[in-house]
Amino acid sequence: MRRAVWVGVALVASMPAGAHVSSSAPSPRCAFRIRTPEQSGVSFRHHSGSTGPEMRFMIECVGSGVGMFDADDDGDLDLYLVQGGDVKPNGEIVVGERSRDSLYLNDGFANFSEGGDEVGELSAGFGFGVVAGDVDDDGDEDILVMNLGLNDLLENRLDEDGVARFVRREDGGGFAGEVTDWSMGAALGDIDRDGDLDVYVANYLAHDLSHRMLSGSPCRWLGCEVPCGPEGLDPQGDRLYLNDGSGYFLEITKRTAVGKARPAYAFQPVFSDLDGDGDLDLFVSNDSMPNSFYVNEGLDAHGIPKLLEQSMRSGLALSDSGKEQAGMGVAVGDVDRDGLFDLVMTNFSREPNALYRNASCDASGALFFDEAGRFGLGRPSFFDLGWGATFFDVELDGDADLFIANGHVYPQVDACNISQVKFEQPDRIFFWESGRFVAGSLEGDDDLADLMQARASRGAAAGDLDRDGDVDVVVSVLGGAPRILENTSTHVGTWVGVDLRPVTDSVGSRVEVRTARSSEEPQASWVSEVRRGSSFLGTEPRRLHFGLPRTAEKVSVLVRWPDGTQESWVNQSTGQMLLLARGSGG
Amino acid sequence: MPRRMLGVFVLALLMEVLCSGRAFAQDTAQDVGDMVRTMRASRREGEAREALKSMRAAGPDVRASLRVIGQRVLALQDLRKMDEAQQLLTGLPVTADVDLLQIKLARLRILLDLVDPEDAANQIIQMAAKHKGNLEVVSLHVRALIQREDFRAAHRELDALTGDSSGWLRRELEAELLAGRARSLLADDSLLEEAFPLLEEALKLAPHRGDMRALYANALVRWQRFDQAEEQLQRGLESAGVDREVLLMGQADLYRSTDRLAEAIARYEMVLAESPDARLAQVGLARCRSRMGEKEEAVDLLKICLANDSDDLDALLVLAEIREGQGRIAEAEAALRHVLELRPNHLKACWRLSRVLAREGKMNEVEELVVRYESRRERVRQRFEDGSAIGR
Repeated sequence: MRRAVWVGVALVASMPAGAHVSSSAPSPRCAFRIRTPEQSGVSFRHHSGSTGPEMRFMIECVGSGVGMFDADDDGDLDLYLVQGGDVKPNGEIVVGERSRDSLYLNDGFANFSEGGDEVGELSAGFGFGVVAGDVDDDGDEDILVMNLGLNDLLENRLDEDGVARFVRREDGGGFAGEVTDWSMGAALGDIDRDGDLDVYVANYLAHDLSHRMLSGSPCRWLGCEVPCGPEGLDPQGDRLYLNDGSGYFLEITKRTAVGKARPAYAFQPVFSDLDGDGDLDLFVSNDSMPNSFYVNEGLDAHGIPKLLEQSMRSGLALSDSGKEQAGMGVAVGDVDRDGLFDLVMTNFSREPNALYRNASCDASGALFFDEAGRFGLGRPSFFDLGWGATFFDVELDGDADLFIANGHVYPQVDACNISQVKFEQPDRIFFWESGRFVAGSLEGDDDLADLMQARASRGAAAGDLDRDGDVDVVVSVLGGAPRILENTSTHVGTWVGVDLRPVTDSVGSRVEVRTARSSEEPQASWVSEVRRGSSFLGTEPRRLHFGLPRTAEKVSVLVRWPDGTQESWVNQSTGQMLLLARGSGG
Repeated sequence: MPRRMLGVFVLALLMEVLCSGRAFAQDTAQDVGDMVRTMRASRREGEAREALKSMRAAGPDVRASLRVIGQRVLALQDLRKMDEAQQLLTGLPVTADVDLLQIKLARLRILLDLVDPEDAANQIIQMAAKHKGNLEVVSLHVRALIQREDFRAAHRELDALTGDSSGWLRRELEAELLAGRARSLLADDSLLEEAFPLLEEALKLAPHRGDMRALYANALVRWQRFDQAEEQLQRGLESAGVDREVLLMGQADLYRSTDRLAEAIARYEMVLAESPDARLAQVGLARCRSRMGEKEEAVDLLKICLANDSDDLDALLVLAEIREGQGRIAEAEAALRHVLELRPNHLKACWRLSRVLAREGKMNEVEELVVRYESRRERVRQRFEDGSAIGR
């Protein structure tokens, strides 16, 4: 199957740049088409735990993330979909066949088949988050699943024929946590720069059924009877683990600032070099509490990462008016193309999504400004309740656009006559135009009708599922079937993909793609970073995708590996996925 | 005595005053003052207006009588014409005569509503001990306690009010107490829901109070019941008198928060046409203009506010926001520093100033502000968590 991958890549690579562009169609058309379960083969349906139209416990309201990665390393993107389960009337969860996660393998053209017994043992916990990464450094991506209760580490034993088989580590690989943990998202990154992937697990709150607020009696929100929480329930502390090099994790939470932080209702951690100094820092979106931001200051004398909590100082803790928001999902990207990574964090309704523009420099250290309003994200997202978020270039015009999955927490809101709030809400695409985001709308045509169908969306991951050069989207839906949105937009320009090898080393690498300077065009550059764990409780493709202007026929690629070393590849043709092995560049 | 008859009687008295000597005028002024007080006590704005009209028609001697002036100021305050009342008071000579209770009450009311609520509350509490049983004093005392969010003490004071003669006042003050408790709850989004029964009860007791209806509508907006809020405001406006302005403001704010900017602008302009000095309308209008990208027009409006009152917090905050957005950081910084001079505990200003200073790279000061901000925020949180601010 591995061979098939690269044949596929060669096919894509052989297509001329911008092959989809018709010379008689100058105006770009941004469009998405839903691939039905019958068309895609993805028959998964999420079990929220609720048996009726209403939900009684927070665990039923959260939903799960989307894992989009190449499980069998055949060059296409597979899907790991996290299952919830059943919840008894008293709030106890039931795990079993209905809580078993699903792995869907891609044939390279976005036709999926569900992995059965041959893919081994997947997680069967009441699950929320998923992150994939090569934690045992054997060249394939393993899977970490975050559950209510113990977390699961699924070790990938990819065989020589390219068949992925997962083995659930009985010992939890050291990162299972406690049975009382309610883990949400996780992120992998080499935080101590020793060559292996460490993990941060975001925990939410104690689903302690002896708590008076978890008796099953409802609480009230805007006059509606809804499940209680998170406020009033006990937040849980997050956990940070170092990899011992073999894929086994050792918890170091208490030896770092993470252990000293006030517990928070955490959703999504992200490792990224946010202060631009070459090592991985850590941002965590927290629900209804200030976000956390740990700046990586190297190692202490015992080899433990020195993390400095800087959320308030840096401006990442709160909104621009100084309020804590219901931080949900996180997207990282260089919005203003200044070479620094900015953050978008989705929020509750009546809280605009935050856009933390990165203004870090040596003199000030890590510094961010919430400029959602300035960049056009504020008002259009004001009434939305956002979850998954991801940047990608919809029409390949060289600008990163932004997709946000929306949906309310409580189904009960539909009966409460609240203005501008429905349980099912349309997802949004924000197009980058002339220095700001412009919300895609249904006015004028129905190209975005499938994308903007109202659902209780949760996780979102973007990647080129059908290897046609543009980026498609998968959205998980609370208590429903995931939506697979095929990008059918006109390709305005071209693209290039970057697949860094070895797999482990790629995580945390910063990749810069540059066009050549010519008499007509100045040199332009785009930066991205390989991340494991982002959006909402999910994992997005390790292979990076850059939309480029049509004129970009050749590019150079500059990679800064996680250990700080740099390498470059020049004169690379666009319209293809570049396989860049460490040591093969200049 | 029927109210119309009362008005006629007052006018007749005034005519007598006009035709008589000074000594007589002083006696009559006392009668006029008492009558006007009785008219005001009906708590119907028609009577308050009538009383004012009567006083304006009086001769110069009566008009100069402190007793009449005192009642006139109080009547103006009843009609929420606070600026006019303040002007009248400011024009009074500082003499021993000015010790008159009505004048004192009027001054304290202005101090309480507009200038220094804490100082006013302290003075009123002292005064209340001396003038037990005086309904005007009790009423102001209860209002001072409400302003201080000492709801338990306000309750006790209300319980001391007995007798049929104080029935109207009791209802009015009970409604104000309920609205005060609701207002306190509305300061915290997580307590919003608890404000509704209080506001509904307040409106049952005082359905004519447009200010309370506007507060209720404001809570409905925050509860995201826009249609209901609009209905309440419309209902209030149908019979509004003195509260027309606050109801129009409610509509304008509702439209602004739901992106109906043109309608919001129209309402703010209606308010300004009726009360050119309505600073909140001016600030609201500036916010709308700013949202529409008309930044300099917005700044011009704010400058008018600040020319009238250089300490206008709302205008300063919006000005800072606009200037920061325009990259005119020094001006944003100056505006925010001014807010913090006036209100050292202003959380939003504290946070915003830290962000503005961060843009200037003044990170040491940012760190100090962040520490200040966090400790204040914590205090506010604790205050709500232990329920002391709510009077539960």
